[in-house]
Amino acid sequence: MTLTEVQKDAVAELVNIAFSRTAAALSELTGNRVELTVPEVSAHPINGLLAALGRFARGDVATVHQIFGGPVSGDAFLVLDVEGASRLVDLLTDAGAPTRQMGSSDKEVLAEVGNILLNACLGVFGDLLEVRFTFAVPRLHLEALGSMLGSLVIDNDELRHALLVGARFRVKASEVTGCMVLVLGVTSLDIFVRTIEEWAERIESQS
Amino acid sequence: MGLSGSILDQLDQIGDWGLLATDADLIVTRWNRWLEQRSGLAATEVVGRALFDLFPDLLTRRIDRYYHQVLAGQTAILSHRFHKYVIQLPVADASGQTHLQQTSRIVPLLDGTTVCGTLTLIEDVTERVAYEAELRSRVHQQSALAAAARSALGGHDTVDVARDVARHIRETLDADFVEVLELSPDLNSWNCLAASGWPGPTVRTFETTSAARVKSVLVSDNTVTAVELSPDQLAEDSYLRSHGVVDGLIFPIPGRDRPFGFLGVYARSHRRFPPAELLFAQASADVLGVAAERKRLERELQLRVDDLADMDRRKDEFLAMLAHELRNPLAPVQNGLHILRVQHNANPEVNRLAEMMSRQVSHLVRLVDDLLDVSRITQGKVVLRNETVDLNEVVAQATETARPLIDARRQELSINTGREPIVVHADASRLAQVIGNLLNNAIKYTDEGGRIWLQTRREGDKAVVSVRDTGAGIAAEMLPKVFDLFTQVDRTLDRAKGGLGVGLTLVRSLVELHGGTVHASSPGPGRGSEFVIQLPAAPRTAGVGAKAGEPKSVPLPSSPCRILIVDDNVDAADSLAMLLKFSGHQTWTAYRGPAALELVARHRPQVILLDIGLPGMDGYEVARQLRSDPMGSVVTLVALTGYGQDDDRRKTHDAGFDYHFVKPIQPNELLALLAKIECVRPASRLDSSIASV
Repeated sequence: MTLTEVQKDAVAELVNIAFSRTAAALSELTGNRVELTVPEVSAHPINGLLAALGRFARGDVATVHQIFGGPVSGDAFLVLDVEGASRLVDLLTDAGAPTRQMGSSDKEVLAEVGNILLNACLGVFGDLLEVRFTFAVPRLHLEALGSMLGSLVIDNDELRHALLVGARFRVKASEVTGCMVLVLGVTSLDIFVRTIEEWAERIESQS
Repeated sequence: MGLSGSILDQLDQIGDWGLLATDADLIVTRWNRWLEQRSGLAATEVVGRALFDLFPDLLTRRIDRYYHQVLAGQTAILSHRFHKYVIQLPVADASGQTHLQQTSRIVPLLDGTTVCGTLTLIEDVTERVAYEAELRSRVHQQSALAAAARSALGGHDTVDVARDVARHIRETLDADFVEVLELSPDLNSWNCLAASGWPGPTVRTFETTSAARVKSVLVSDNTVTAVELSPDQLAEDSYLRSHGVVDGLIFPIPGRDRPFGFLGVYARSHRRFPPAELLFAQASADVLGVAAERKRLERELQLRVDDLADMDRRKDEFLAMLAHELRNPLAPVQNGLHILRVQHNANPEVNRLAEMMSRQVSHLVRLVDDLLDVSRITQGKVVLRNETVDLNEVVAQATETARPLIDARRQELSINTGREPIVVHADASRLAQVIGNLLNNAIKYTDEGGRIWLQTRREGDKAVVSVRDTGAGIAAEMLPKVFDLFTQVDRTLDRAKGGLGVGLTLVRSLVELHGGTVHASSPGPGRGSEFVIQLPAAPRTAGVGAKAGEPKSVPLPSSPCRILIVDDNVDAADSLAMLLKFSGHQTWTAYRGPAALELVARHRPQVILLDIGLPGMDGYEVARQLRSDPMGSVVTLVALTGYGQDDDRRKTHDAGFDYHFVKPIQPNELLALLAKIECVRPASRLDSSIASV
């Protein structure tokens, strides 16, 4: 399925609200000025996600995965390639020279960052849909991109789609790019997109 | 998706973590044993009380936001890196931490789908944090050490290496001050090579040996490693005291016979340096020692190289002077021999003796020429006059020159040159010299009646000359050295065969100047040897230029010339005059420039053989004065000199000479020249006596 330009803009605007809350939280947490922006929004069937994700991450990836439930349910991911994830952690924690491997502490930092970001985004969507989501504890995975996507398809009969939102972190004049992925069943996606459209029309009529 | 209360019991049993549960009003409902043990607070003191009343710092640290987020249904992750801990729990252990380092999850507790409380799950990561910090420190230390080693081995300046080491040590060990001091050779003063962390300018030179830290190094030897400064020593050291130093370590930097200096690491608060940090600092001091020693060796090597170059240059100058001086006595000897042979050719005894002496003089001339050549080649003063020549013709010329010696030793020379010319771009006379030297060696080192093979061939783009013999052979260990200057295979053997050990050096030098190679091989002593020269061959289509060398010609009788000989070597001048007189010419001699000019004015010679190296007024000046006189403009001036390079010939030409001969002049060459000059007898009557001044 594809999103219209109006729909993309609406999603981007909503996510930007969430991202600005995330950036504020990270800025306060780290003592460094953090900027977070949305470079692009797109929608893909699940079997086309690998190619789409390839623009943001290659090879081994670090993924913060959060299952959410409610009227709209699915999986939310923050995806960064491992090098980018290490760099982001080092920038946020003032670690100095970047380390090549992610240690336990680094993984925890990434899990916290991902948790803040995903909670903020799902929170915004929850406010929009006027529902309360339920969230599982986020999990961090380090694995090849293909394996991560493979786990999304297994044991899932319903045709699923993914909303892919680029995420660009800017800390201390350095940039790290990753993406947020919302994987939804077709029913959930339909509700989600319709709600966003209505919101966008509402906003437009008010302005 | 939070946790139901019944799971809490299971969690408490299966894991080693703190469990803090609250209700929806954030009143503590559970405080497990793990927390009791670490906080010193019994559950009975905590359960039923408001979380933020118990731990007000949660509010000041704004952790309360996470609890409210969880009550809204989300989860919170509190990593150690950002938060250090959730609940402040004391600990004092070797890690140096005063509070338990924690990572936590805060999740909603659910009653059905309703959030009814929170659960904080706390994990102790104190050890892990300490371990990760040490690991990072080790990695940092290794990188710093590797960088310092690279600088040291890369020959960087000692001060630069010291500066890098001081900075790395201070950063890695978190020290307040670091210094690198170098001990002066007289052991009385110290020079500060590098300093890190000190405020303001650092003292560059310490004259005193009384400071505690420098004393401790003076009394140590190279085997002593880290020295911890005692409080008394620190109290004595006014420099350190003035900077508030209360703890310090000295690491001697190893030197050749005594410490090179030391690395000082100081702190303004009491601290311990773990073993790993001591090792790192000592390794850094060792690297500094390597860097300093390397620079010292470099300087020493350069001095030696300079000395060797100087000696080499003096040797070359000596050889040039020696060869030049040796030439002077040869001229009159050659002239005398020529006269003897011309005047007494009917007397077989005299003839035989004269021929024998001529051969020996020729041999001596060749030795001196070789000596001079090798000296000029090593000084880069030889310039090849290359042209396209047929290698086979050069071989023929060299063979012809060697033929008398081969015949005298009844040796058999087989020549295989093929029918097609082998064209090379070479200096024909130098190439003939090379092949001649190889042939002479083969002749010399092969017994009478032995065999010598000389072959030329083309191999691809190479022209190859090989000289093989059945002679004395060369031992394997000598093969690599046969081309070295003054090397001879066997001194006792060679003393009988003569020679200076210069010939093969010349061969190699001249072949290499032509862009070729020469290689010696031998099955062993007594089993002959082979020398193979490879030269770049010209394309097969290249034509051959002027014939190599000039054909020998017998001087034809000429009309008698009126000749003035000027040379400060009385024997050389007189013997040459005698030789020319016996050849029918009229001669006068002078031994100085002014006398020569006088004789010219008086006798108007047609040819003047003029030595350049006259004392006082030299040959150039005599020539210039002669040419400035109208009467002197028609005389043929022949320069006689020991120098035959292009520059020398240019100088004589510019001074007005018509011909340039290198001493000792070959009688036949001079007679051939005189035959070319058409000497017309002047109208006035001439004095035929020899006049001496």
